[in-house]
Amino acid sequence: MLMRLDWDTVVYFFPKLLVKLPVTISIVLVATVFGLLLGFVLALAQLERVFVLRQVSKIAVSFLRGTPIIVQMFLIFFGLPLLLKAIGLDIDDLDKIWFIYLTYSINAAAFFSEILRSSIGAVPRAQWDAAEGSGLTRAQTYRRIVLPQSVAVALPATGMTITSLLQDTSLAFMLGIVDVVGQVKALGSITGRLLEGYIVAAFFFVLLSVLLERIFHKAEKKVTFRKKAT
Amino acid sequence: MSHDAILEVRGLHKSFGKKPVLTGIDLAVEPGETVALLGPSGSGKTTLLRCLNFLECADAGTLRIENQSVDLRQAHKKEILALRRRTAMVFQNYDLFLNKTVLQNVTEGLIVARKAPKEEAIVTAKQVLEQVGLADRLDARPHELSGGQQQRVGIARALAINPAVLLFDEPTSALDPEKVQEILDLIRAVADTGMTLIIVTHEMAFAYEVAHRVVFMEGGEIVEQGTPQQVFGAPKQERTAQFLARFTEGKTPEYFI
Repeated sequence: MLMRLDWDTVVYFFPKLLVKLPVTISIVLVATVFGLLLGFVLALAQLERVFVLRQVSKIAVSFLRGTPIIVQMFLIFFGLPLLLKAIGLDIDDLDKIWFIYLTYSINAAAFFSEILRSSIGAVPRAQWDAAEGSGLTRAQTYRRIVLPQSVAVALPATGMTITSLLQDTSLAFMLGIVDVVGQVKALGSITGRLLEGYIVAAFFFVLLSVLLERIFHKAEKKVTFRKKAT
Repeated sequence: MSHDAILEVRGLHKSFGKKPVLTGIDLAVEPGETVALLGPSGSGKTTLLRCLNFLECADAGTLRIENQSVDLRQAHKKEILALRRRTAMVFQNYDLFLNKTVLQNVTEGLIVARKAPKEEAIVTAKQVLEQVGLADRLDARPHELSGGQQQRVGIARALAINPAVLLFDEPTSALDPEKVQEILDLIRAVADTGMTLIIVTHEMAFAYEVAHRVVFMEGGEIVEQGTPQQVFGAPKQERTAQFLARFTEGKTPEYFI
């Protein structure tokens, strides 16, 4: 049976999805912050050739980039409690959203680590020489010379990664998370109308993506200290 | 072994992989001396200079700067940092910090590496920038400056930390001929202040006029050294004479009285 698109339902769904927007945004924010932190550690382990950690980092990154996020999600959701039980930790009462936060954070970390590794590598060797030759320690060189310069290189790819992270949150409903997409499913089963829900969801996703794009475009302009190659 | 030398290297060896680049360098530099390192490309001059600043880690040998000496084979991070802070390097391609202004380029080593108070560092930085003639470009970024100006900042950055030894790695090789003279004049002025300088250069006339001592290197070792008059006027080694021939032949005789 073909149903007509009902605009009244679209309007009716709008506020109901709007209130779930914070859930979607929180996944993106948490994954971005912890993904960047963990990603930096993974990148450093490789750049600084840290004993053993370097190999661990490489393997972790290629595993996380080589498997779908949905597989990672279920591996963590079913596997982590078992693993923790083995060492006597019970997390059965833990809210599901934490599994989502964890999955998306480590998934994002893999992508961020690759971005950071390559953008740090893009800073000319001579900048290291000049900094270390001026008596700066390695940590000072990273903090004051290399990282500020690599930010400009890393920003565009970081923006893209966060945008695709946003799109990936649409899989979180599979654990029963009621984010924007989860809410579409829930409303769909109550009212029998899915298309209207997805239209509203699409609107929110586009809105957030455009917003992200804007923010990163502005940020790029701000941190570019070199003449643009034309 | 001379004890009044401000910098002394003994038996320095360095290989890149299996290729030996420096094979037993001994060099002592007196305080206030300007030493020019000459030699063909690939002779190891730049590598030697970079070893003195630990931008390359030598495989063997000892290095002493002022009263601190270290066995290069087993130098600790702390020793390296401490020794490194006694020298400053001026690079062929200037290598200013691209994310910093002219003033910040000069204060960076003072404030961050040597923990100088910020106000004091700024005063010092302004002073040396005045000395190199860039007092009016304090807030410029490296990409806004010409090559000659960038190298002036590079020299100011090195001067600011008042190093025991100032190292120059082909400081004029990337400049156009007009700017070369400008920078050479500046380096000469620095040498005249009594600072200790080691300069890797292909500017023979400059080496002849400014250096107190000329060191000719080839194949990873020091072939010959002496005053410019000795080395240019009456080289003892065949190879030195050969290398310098093009320069010495073209010169007016008054140089060689």
